[in-house]
Amino acid sequence: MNVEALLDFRLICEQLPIGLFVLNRDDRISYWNDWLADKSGITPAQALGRRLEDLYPGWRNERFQWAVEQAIDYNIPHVLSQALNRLLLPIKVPLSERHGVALMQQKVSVMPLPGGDSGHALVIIQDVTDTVVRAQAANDVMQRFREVSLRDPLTNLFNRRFMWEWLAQELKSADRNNAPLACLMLDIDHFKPLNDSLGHQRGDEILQGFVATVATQLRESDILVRYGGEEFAAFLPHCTLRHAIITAQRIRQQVRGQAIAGLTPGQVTCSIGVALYDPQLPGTGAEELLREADRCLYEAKHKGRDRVCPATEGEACDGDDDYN
Amino acid sequence: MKLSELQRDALGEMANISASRAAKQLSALLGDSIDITVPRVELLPLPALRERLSADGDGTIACVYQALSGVLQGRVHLMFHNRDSKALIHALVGDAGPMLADALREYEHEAMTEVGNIIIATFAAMLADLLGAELRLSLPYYNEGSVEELMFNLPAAEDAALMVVVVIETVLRAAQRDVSGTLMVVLKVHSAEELLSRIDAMLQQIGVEA
Repeated sequence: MNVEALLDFRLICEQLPIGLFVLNRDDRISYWNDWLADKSGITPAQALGRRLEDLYPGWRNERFQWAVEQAIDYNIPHVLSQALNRLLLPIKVPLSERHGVALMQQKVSVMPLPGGDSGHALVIIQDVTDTVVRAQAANDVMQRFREVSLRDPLTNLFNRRFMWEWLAQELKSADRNNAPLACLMLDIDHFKPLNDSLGHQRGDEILQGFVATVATQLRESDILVRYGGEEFAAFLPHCTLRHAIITAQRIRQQVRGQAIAGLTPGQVTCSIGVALYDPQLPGTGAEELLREADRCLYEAKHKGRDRVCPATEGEACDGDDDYN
Repeated sequence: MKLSELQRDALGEMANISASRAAKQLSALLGDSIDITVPRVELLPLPALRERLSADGDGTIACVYQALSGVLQGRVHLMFHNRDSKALIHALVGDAGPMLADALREYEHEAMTEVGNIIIATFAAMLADLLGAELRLSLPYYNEGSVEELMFNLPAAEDAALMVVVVIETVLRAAQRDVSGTLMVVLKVHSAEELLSRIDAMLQQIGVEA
């Protein structure tokens, strides 16, 4: 038996797991394989003799048009990558688990039909949706992982790792705009005895309640970071020292006035150090800013807690309601 | 075999025309203004290229390759230094967003293949016009490696001593960034002779004596 005689190439083309169609010089379809019919819902009978814009009203693709001309006029093949073109024909894919990919992603080759000056271009469509979806899924995971790695799971605040990245950018922006940036270093007073006497569960609730109270006093553009156990840092872009002190006082008063974690108001209080990054004063950076805020916090603790201490001489620490 | 001054000018001019056509296609595809120029063209025996390129420094090369058959026999390579090809893709398609290393590599290779394909295709179409005969190109392939691997390890049947290479230096400008690449047309000697005689004929036709 002669194997050659058994090879019906048209039949093979029908069964290949890729899309194949042929265009003539007038852009009319002269072949449309079963795979394409199956995926697109357009039968060969509907496709033959028609143009792509007849099948997909409004369809137009100059890159593809040029590739077809080059294939027919010059025998030059072209690859239309998914990376640069996404797809050629708008073929829907099932939506489940598609990571937002709704149309079949395609790698397309346009080549002259073998046999020299045939006046036809063969178009091959490979479905690369799975690869794209896989890459997309991996990216989503990576994004989520990154997000998780930058947040504290208990309070959902950003952590120190995020803080250093953010601060590096933000100080540059402060320099560019010549706008000062304030840092509040906050610490819950006597947290350890509270945590030990009430239990870790209540301790966690105090941390969460404290964060919720502080957040109400901050602007959208400010960020709050969990700096350590019961220590937090707030950064206030475009903020003067005076405003930062007022904000810190409001926070201190709110915290003392709230029944945090079901405790009597006043049982939870906090101390706050306030420092300023001023672009006009050279020689300071993120580390100096935090060190200064930390020093002020230590001073507030030292002077009796439940008070705000700013970084400038002459601005005395005050624990009472002087800043109302 | 050497290029005369006139042949060099003619080839350079043709390369510049095809480069501007390729740039037009790329600009339309990428929605950005892209410019390609050809500052220099020369012709070398293939073995001489080896010395030239090894003197040029090492480093991995990114290469898009298409085989030539029909009236011209050989192959066309478009080469960029690997870091330049990444800079090029970045300039052309912008930041692809966060991607795992493998996915990013695949994305870059695919994009490079198509960009290379467009530049090679416009040049080949111009050669076909000049030769007035059938020229065939294979589909494009992307490869990375040393110059030695890419230029001298390819077709087993090829005798390097009987090959010449038309070296077409290109500068691609996208998003205020210049990236240098080289288009290398490796031809069998008789194909190169055919090409040069067609160039002479064309020069004669327009009244310039070669």
